[in-house]
Amino acid sequence: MTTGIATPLLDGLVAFLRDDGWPVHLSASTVPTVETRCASATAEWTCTGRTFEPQGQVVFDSMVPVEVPEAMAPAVALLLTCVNWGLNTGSFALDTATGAVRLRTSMVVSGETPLLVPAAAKALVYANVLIVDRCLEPLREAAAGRMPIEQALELMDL
Amino acid sequence: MTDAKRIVDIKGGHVLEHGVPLSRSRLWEIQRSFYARQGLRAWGDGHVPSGITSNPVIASGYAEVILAFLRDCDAAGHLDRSRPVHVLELGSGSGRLAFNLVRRLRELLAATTLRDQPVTLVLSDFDRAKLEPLATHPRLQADLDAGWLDFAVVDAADPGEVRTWRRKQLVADAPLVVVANYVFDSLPADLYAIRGGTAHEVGLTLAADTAALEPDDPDALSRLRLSWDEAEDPAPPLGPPELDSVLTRYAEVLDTTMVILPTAAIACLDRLATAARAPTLALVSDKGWAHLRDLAGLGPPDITPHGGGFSMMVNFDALARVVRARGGTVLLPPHQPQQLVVGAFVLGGLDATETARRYTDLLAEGGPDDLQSVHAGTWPPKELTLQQALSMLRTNRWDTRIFLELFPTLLELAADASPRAQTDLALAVDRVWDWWFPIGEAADIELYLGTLLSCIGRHREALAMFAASQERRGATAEVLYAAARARYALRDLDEALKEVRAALDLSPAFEAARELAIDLEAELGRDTGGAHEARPGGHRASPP
Repeated sequence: MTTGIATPLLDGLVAFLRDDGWPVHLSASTVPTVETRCASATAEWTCTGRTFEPQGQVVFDSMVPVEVPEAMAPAVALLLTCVNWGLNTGSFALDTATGAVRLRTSMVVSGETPLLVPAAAKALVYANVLIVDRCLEPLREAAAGRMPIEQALELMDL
Repeated sequence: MTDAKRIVDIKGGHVLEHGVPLSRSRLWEIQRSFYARQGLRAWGDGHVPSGITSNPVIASGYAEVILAFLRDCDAAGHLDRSRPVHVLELGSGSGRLAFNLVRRLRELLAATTLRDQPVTLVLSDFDRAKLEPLATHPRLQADLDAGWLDFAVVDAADPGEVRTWRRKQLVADAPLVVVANYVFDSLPADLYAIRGGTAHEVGLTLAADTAALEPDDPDALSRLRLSWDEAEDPAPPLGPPELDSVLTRYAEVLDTTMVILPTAAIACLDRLATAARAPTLALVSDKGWAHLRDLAGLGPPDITPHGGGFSMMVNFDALARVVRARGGTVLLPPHQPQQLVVGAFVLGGLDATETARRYTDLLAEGGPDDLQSVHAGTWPPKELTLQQALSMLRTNRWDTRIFLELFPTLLELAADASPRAQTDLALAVDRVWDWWFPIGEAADIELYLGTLLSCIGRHREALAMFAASQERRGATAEVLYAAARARYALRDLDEALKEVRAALDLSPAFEAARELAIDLEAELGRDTGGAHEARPGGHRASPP
């Protein structure tokens, strides 16, 4: 970071990612931000970690590698709503303007000087990308109109 | 940014190493640590398999082939009666093979014109602490004192100068015999995939649920997840041109397969033979592939765990090609053995005619592997006569494991056998005892042998066995009871009563001992409040 302001939460997240073998790219932003990449057997996507240091919030987003055509937006929105119902942590969101799908996991670290320990960072990041990995293929099929959302939900097995 | 983090790695846990050549994998740290932790008992309790590679049958075959090699060396003028020939056993383990081998070799040499040739069998390990218990093993002392046996620290994965402990002899500048049983399957090797005429190096990825690898953890191996990655590019040259030629040949004739190259084993033989500066015979026994035809269509190697360590199949064909390329002689069975490939490799440009003949007679066909296969296929036999059971023992050269398997049969048939058959049984007991090398196994061999002797009325000899049992293992209720029965049969009632009471002290619920005590007290006229008449038939031997 170049702001000179202490960012212990981002530092904790970056330290975990580096130690765990993730590519790390610190991006200039008003919010402390780290970008990384994740790859499943069939796709690769960008993940973004952001920290809201004063509030102790850590947010980790996967930009799900799927494009939702406008015509499919209602069906996919319904599908994602049903998926979110089944998730223990995190939630999908659909940008109806662009057709982008995001999965966000987040946490709040309390304390006077909040620290993000590796185990907590791992839980936040791994839960996120493993959910994406599990839901990606059925979601892609449903977004392409090749699979009914009921079948997609069944395949996700949440 | 560089590569993305892979979901497959996340699911696999922590990646401890990624795509590392097999011979440089941390897997071998676990292997080394496992063997460093093992004491004599690892072989006795079966954690490390060794029966087929250390029994008297294979030892006898080896001794004959070694003698033939010495004859070949003598004929070529390589033997100097003032310099000992060393038989270097790599990874001596329990010491049982050395015990059996040196005994047979000593017998054979004594009956030939080579009787004045000094020969020393050197037991070795990479860890001196593993050899210390063998240095004090009672069964080895006579041969140690006579110079037939010695010790040396030798790391088979990286052998340097070999010097023996006791006589401070340098193992060099004389014909050498290297014995490697179940050693090369545990040494670093490399893996290659053959795909459409090209060899590709295969890397190993180790993953675990924890971030650190703890080689000293006995469960370290079971915590690992192994995966293999084939390099896209053709494999770079290996270094030794003979090894490159092997890989080139495999790529030419094998279509789709994976082959292990025993790189550390080849380097080990190279270094030892170079130091010898004389003909070298390597006797190698392992699970493995004997021929090129066995290498077709193979997948990633099976890492076979045993008690925290592991083993892999040995590519004897690769060993053979390297030895031949260096002008050596290769002796391998013409078929694919079921359990164990026993190979002999002669390095150093010797005419090994005699060696080859004895190898063919004793090790290639009808040898340890065939005997083991026949045993596995016919055991347990439906019904055996006593003489048939004794024939099995003789065929297996009084192997203790076979004796233990036959013991119930022997015991059942002994009492009613003819006097001549009982004499043969007594001889068998003597032979089994003579060839037995204790390695901490659970079975009380002396008790079993003594029980058989009691059964055929040889109570005094039985008592000697029971005394030997107590000397080695301490008194147990079972052996005290067996001794009491033998004394009872000899009408030494006072001593019998003492021993059966001692048995009851150790095991108050020992019903048979209690009955014997009551009978003895009755016969001795000592009323303990529960006197019974002695049973008419007395106390016959029963299973321990």
